[in-house]
Amino acid sequence: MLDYIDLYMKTLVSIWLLIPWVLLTAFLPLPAKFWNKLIFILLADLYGIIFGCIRYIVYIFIFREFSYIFMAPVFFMLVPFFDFVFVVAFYSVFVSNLALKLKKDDSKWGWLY
Amino acid sequence: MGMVILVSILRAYILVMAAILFTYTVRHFIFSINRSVGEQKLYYQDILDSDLPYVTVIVPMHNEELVAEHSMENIANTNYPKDRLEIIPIEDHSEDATLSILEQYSEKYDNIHPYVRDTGARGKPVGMNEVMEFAHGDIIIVFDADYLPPKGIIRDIAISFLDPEVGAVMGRVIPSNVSSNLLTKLLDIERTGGYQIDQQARYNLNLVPQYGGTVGGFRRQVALDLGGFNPSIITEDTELTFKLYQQGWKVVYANRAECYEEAPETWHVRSRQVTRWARGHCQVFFKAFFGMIKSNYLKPIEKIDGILLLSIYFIPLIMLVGLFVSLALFFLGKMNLFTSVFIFILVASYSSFGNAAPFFQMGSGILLDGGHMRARLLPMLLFSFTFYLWFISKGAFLAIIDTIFKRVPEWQKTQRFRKK
Repeated sequence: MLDYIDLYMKTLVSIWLLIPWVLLTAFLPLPAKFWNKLIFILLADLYGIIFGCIRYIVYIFIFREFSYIFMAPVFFMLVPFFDFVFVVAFYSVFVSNLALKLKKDDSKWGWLY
Repeated sequence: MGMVILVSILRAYILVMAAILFTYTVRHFIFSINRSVGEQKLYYQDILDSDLPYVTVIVPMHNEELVAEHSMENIANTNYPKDRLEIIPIEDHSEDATLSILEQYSEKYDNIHPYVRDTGARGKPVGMNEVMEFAHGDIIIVFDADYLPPKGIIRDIAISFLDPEVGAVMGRVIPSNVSSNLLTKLLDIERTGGYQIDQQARYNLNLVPQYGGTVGGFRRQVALDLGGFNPSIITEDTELTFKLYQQGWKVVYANRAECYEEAPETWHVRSRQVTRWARGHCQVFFKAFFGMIKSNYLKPIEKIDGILLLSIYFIPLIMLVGLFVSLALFFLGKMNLFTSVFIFILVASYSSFGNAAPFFQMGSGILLDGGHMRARLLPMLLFSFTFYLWFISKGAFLAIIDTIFKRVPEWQKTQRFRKK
C-alpha cells in the first residue's frame, strides 16, 4: 500500500509539473497573447492540484473501505487519463474563446491555402 | 536472473515506444506550427488555361441506391466543360436499385456511361482497373458514391495536372452529416486535423501528401504503367501514393477542393471502416517500405516522412502492447515513476489518434476553419482514443497475419445512412 501511495503521489506531482509544458507547447501555434495563455496554464495546474488531492482522498477511502484490488484499475484508468481529460478541456475552452475573438478580426484570416 | 532480464526487456520496450511517440508528436507539432505561422504554398487554382485536360470521373458503387442519385446529380452539374468530361459510375454487383438509377442518369446526360459488373471479383480496385483500360480521360478523378461534389471541384483538381510533375491530387473531405450525433461530430474534428493541418502542412513543407482514393485524381496512363491497382490490397489509394513517390511523381494537396461525404453514424460501422483502413495501410507498409528507402527520386526528409506515414497505423498496436507492458511492470512491483508518468505523456501526446492527429493539431485546424463550439468537443476525443486503440490495433494485427500467411482480405462496403 505504501509503495502504491508513493508511486501515486510521485506520478501526480510529476503530472502537475508536466501540465504547464504540455499546455505551453499546445498553445504555441495559437495566435493569442502570452498572458492569456499563462492564465489558462496556471488555472489548469491549480485545477489539477485540487482535483488530484480530492481524488487521492476518494481512492484511499475506497481502498480502506472496500478492497485493494481496485488499485491497478484506479491507477491505470483514472490517474493519467483523468488528468489528460481536463488538460484537453482547458485547451478546448481556450481555443473556443480564441476563435470567437478572432471572428471579429478579419486580418487574422488572411490565408487558408 | 530471469526476472531481471524480463524487467529490462519490458522497460526497454517502454523506452523505445516513448521515442517513437515523441517523434510523431514532434512531427505533428511542426505541422501545426507550419499551418498557424509558417509560409503557405499556393495551389494551382490561379492558373488560367483554356486547354483543360480530358477527365474521366469514376464513381465505384455497390448497393448505393440511397446515395447514387445525389452524387450523379452533383457530378453531372459541375462546371467543367462537358466536351472534356466523361462520367463512369461502376455498378459493381448491386442487388438494389442502383442500376436503374444509373440508367436514368445515363438517358438524361450524354456523358454518363455506367459500367456494369456482374461477374468476376467485386471491389473498387478490380473495377477501377477495368474502367481505366477503356476510359477516354487522360486524368481520372474518383468520388465515392456518398460524396457530393460541388460545382468547381473537377476544375480545381484537374488544373494541377498542367504541372507535368504531378502524378496525383488529393482534395479535402468534409462530413455533411456532422450534426447527426457525437460520433459524426468527432469525425468532423478528426477530418479537420487530418486535412486542414496534416495534408496541407505536408504539401507546404514538400513532404509526402497522400492521395486518399476519393476527392482526388491521378494520371490514367501513369497508373496503368505502374500496373494498376492490386486487388489484394484494400486501400488502393495508399498503394498508388507510394508507387507514385517511388517513381518520382509528385502528389499535391488541394485544400480548396472541398467535397462533402457521409460520415459513419454508428460506432459499429466506424469500427469496420477504420479496421479496414488500418489493415490496408499496414499491408502497403510491408509492400512499400524498402521501395521508399531505396527510391532515388526522394530526398531524405521525404523518405523519413514517407516511412512515418506508412507506419502510422501501427502506433495504436505499439501503444496497446505498451499498456500491457506497463500493467505487467505494475503487478511485478517494478513500475517506476518514469513508467507511470509515461502513460500520461503517451495519452497526452497521442490522445486523439483518429486521422493521425493529436489534440493540438485538431485545435489548430478548428481555429483555421473559424470553428467555435466544435473546439469544446476536444475532450470527448478520449472515446475515440480508446476506440481506435482497439480497432486500429486489430487492423494492423490482421495485416501482419495477411502478410505472413499471404491471405487476401475481402472488400467491405461502408454502410450508408442517408434518408430516402
